[in-house]
Amino acid sequence: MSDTAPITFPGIRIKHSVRPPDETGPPDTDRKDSTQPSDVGTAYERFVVGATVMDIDRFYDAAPGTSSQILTALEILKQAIDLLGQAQQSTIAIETDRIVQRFKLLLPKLFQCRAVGDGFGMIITSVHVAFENLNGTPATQVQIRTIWRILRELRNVPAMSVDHALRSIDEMEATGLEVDAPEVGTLLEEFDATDND
Amino acid sequence: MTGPLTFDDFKPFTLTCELRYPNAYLIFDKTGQILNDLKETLTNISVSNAGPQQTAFASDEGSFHLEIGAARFTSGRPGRNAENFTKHCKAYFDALIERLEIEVFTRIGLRYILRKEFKTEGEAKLALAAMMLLNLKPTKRFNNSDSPVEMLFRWEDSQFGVFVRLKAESADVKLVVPPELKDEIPDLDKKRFVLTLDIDYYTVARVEREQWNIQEWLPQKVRTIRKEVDGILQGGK
Repeated sequence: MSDTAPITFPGIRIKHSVRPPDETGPPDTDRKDSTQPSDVGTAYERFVVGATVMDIDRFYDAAPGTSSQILTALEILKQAIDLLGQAQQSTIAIETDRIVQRFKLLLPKLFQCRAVGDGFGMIITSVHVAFENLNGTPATQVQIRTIWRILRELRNVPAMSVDHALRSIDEMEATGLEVDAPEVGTLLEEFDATDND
Repeated sequence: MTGPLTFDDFKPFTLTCELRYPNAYLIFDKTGQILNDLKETLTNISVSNAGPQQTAFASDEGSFHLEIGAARFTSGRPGRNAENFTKHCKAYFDALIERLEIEVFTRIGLRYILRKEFKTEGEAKLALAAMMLLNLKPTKRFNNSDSPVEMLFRWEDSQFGVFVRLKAESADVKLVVPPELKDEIPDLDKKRFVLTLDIDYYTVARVEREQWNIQEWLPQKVRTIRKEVDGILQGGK
C-alpha cells in the first residue's frame, strides 16, 4: 500500500500482519488485495516523522465556530496564564495586584468548564478558594508563580487526574495558600477535635 | 448524477478508534477484569478469541480487540454524529487505561470507512473520475483503464497524519444456507458496486493520557473529517 516496502533478510522469519504498521486497522477491512510482503524478514525501513509530544492546541483544534468546552477552557486558561505572567513581571505592587484582580475574574468562567475533568475542576476551585482565603491580602510573587506554573501544566493536560491535581494543590499549600473553603476548614477542625476526644 | 458528491452521499460502513501504547504487560492479569468492567455498559458480550497477548470480543455495540500494545473498538453502525460510538469507546478505553495503567499513547487512530452504492462498476469508476482529484490526462496507462480505480492521499506532519483512500470496487455478498433450510431461506448471491471512502486520521506525536478527553476529542475529529473530506470531494476546495 502506501508503506515503505519491507527490506527482507534471508534467514530471519516472522509472521507479517496484513495491516501495515501505520494504519488503524478495523479487523474486517484489512487489505486483502495488496501484494503481500515476503514472510521472511523482520527489518524494514520506515521514515519516522518524529516522536514529539502532542501540542495541545493542535490536538483539539477545530473548525472556527465549533462550540466545545475544552476549547473554551484552553482559551481562558491561555488568558489566565498570560495575566499571571504579566503579574510576575510587574515590579510595582499595586500594578501586580490590579493584574491579579483581572485574573480572578476569569475563574468563574473556568469553573463553568469543570466538566473537562475532575482534576481540572479541583484545581480551579482550589485557586478560587485560595484567593478568597487571602481576604484581600495581595498574593506573593512565589504564590503567583506557583499558580502560573500549575495552570500552565493544566493547560497542557486538561484531562488531569485527581492524583495529579492533588499533588499540584499540595504545591499551592506549600506556598502558604489555603485551599480549603473557610467553612470546610471549620468542619475539619471540629472533626479533628471530635476525633481526638 | 447531479453535482459533485458530498460526505453525506456516503453511507457509514465502519468506524474504528484505535489506541497504541508501550507494551502493557498487565494485560496478562487484567483482561478478564476489563471485560467484567464492561458488563454494565455493553450488551451480549461474547468472546471470540482469548489468548495471552490478544483478546477479541464482540457485543451488540461493536467489536473489540485488545492486544499487548494496542486496543481498538469498531462499530458497524456508527451513525452520523458518532455519539453512541464515543460513549462505547469511552467505556472501553477508560476501563483498559485504568486496568493496564497506561500513561501515554504512541498513536491514536480514527478510521472511518464509508460507501456509496452504484448500479454498475462503470458508474462507480465514473464517479471517482468525475471528482478530478488528479491532474493526469485520462488516457490508457500500463495498457490498463483510462482512469485510476483507486486514489490514495496522505498528509502528515510531526503531530497528525491523515490518509484518504477512494476506490471504485465491487463486493460480493454471499449467504449460503444449510440444505435443510433452503426451502425457507433462499441463498443470497449479490454483487454490489461501490465507491469506498476510507479515512484514517491519526496522531503522530505522543499523547499523554491526561491530554486526552475522549468525549471532546472524538466528535470533534469526526466533524473535522467530515468537513475536510467534503472539501476534497468537491474538487479540492
